[in-house]
Amino acid sequence: MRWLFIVGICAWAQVEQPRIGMMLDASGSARPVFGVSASVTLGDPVIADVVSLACARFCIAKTQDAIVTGSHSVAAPRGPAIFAFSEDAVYVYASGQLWRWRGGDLEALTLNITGEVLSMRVDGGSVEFAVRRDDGTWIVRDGNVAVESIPDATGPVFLLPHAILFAAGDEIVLRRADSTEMRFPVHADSFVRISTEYVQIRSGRSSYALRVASGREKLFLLPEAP
Amino acid sequence: MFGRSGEPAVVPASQEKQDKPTWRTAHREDSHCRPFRSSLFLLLLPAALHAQLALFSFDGSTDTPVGQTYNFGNVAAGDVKDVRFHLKNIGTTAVTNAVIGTPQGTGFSLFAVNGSRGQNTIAPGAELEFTIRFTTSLATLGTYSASLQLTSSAPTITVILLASVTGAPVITVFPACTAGSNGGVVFPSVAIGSVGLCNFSVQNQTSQPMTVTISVAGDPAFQAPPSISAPITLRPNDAFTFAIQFTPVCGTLNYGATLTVSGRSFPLAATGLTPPLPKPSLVFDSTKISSGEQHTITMSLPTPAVCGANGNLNLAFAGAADDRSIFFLAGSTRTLPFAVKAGDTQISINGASSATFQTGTTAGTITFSLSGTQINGDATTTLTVVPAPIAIETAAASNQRLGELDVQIVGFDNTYSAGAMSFTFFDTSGKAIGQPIAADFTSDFKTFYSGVTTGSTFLMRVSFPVQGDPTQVAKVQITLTNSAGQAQTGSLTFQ
Repeated sequence: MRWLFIVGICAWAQVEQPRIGMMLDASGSARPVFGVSASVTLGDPVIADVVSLACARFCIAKTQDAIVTGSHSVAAPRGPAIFAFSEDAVYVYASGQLWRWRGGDLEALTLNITGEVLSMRVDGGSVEFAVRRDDGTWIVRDGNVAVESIPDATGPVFLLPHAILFAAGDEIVLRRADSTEMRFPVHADSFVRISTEYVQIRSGRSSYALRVASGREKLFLLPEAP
Repeated sequence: MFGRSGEPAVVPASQEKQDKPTWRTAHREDSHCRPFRSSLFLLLLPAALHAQLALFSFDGSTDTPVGQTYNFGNVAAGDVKDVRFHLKNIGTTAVTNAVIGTPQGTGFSLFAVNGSRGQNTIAPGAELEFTIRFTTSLATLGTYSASLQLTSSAPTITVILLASVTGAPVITVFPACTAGSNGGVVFPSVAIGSVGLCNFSVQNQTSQPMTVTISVAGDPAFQAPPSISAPITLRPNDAFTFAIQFTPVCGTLNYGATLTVSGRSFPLAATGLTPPLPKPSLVFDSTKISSGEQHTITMSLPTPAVCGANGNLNLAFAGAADDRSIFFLAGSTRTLPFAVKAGDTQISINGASSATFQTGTTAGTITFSLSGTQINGDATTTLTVVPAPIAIETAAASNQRLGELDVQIVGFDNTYSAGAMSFTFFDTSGKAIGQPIAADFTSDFKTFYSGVTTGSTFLMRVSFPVQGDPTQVAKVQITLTNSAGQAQTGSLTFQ
């Protein structure tokens, strides 16, 4: 065995305020959420007039006419957008068109998908789409290649790495890849990815946060903006 | 019945009808002069316009010419009647030495002059106002008269004042109602939901039968009995009693109405008292709370609210530090409005059946209180958040940086005393590498906590410089100590 010293006396610590993500408030502003599960406070708005938002390694927002990340903004088709993070890019679905946002540039991609796109994720380098069709809700890839069906989805669907979050009546269901699932008694109007571990559930006037990390699932209310 | 003054005699009703409605000369006309009146009037008109005075009665808005007589009409025994008059200069030159004389006759008096009670000068177009009062306080029934003279540099005006005193019932109000300062009746204050009564007696103290009419008009909170809807005949010395009921309603404090008895009006006044809200029960989804939790509060009444009420539900925190993460989630506030409808026991909070609040991350007491409305008792309720060992939300270990082993912990310390830690490292075979390494980051935490007001949540990154092959260190277990005890991360795998 090679020798090893751990120099404990030289250990140093940095203490700061924890942050669980960035939420979209009722007025359309993106606000940082500080704290821990079930004990959070909201920061001041950082982006206004947001129509779509997603956060993972960083946050990307869609205003009516632009895609905004940090201080960078790129003109984009009008309306809301759906985002999916990959290792080195963000896929953006807006106005029936798929784009790849990388290095601040938007690149249009061809796409052959039928149905209403509800959510996207990148799995193994491929983009997967949750789509609602007349015959139900499906997870498909480009070319309408079916991956999975979600027969009990009645509302919004959100694709997570190795999991699906969807509304079933007045419940939301977190279904893992191994088919285990957890149900939470909340009616969902929409989902917003506020960090890698948390999804915002917008429900009427209220917003909840669901911690989706496996084994650490927890649902709690997010504060309304003051 | 004739007036008591005797002079001048009471004017018969037929003579009253002959009064000229406009200004007139001071001398009295005899009936045999009447054929000449019109032509004389025309001949004298230019001269009459010169310093001519005219008398009008004034009802507050309109002047009405006064003839040779003025009739105060019927005045109930015991009442007082005032009449305002205007003495106008309708000529083109000033009238001097104008004096309003004292009425010569029982019951009449010069009550007020809007000028001097002595001599006045009335400019052309100007007027002198005065008030004649007729009081019946000592009078008996009958007709009264008096002579009023208005002297000046113009011809003197003489007017006969007439009044008839009519019999009036004697009205008595019984306790606990009292006489008001305005001559009316004040009811005792009544709580909403209860009924107040005022008992009255109307008595005929005259020697003649008397017909009495009674009515109540105004706020419907005052209700008269149906028995007074028709006129009531009282024989001499007979009395009739009745009660007026006062029933206040929610939302109104002061009430008013008028009781009218045979033309005489008496203001009625009352106050409705809103009863305080029964002491609400503040109910929580759990009686035992800890830091880092969300709970709900509901409020209900033991008995239905008599009236609707609005107020505020307040949350206050006292602890080792101010913790602004302790609030109601709705609006991120410590005060929410509440409301209850009349007849309900359930109280809505901010328009919902319950309110959710965060307990924050600081030990102390969370106190809920009510304000903004009267409450029968103190509903204040306090919950205690006890000091607890450090709560660890997430913990991770990383060996991805060259020459460093990194540990990251997210959690909170509701005692604000964190800092003492020990780190036990394990090799790939699971054996502890040496003794646990103690570290004290108390000053780092103190510095951090001195700058935050949103609770004790923290993200701590600890780095250990290492020499040798860091992959030989497989896991680490961390013990964090605060004033309430110890907490452990469990075994964290470096990755």
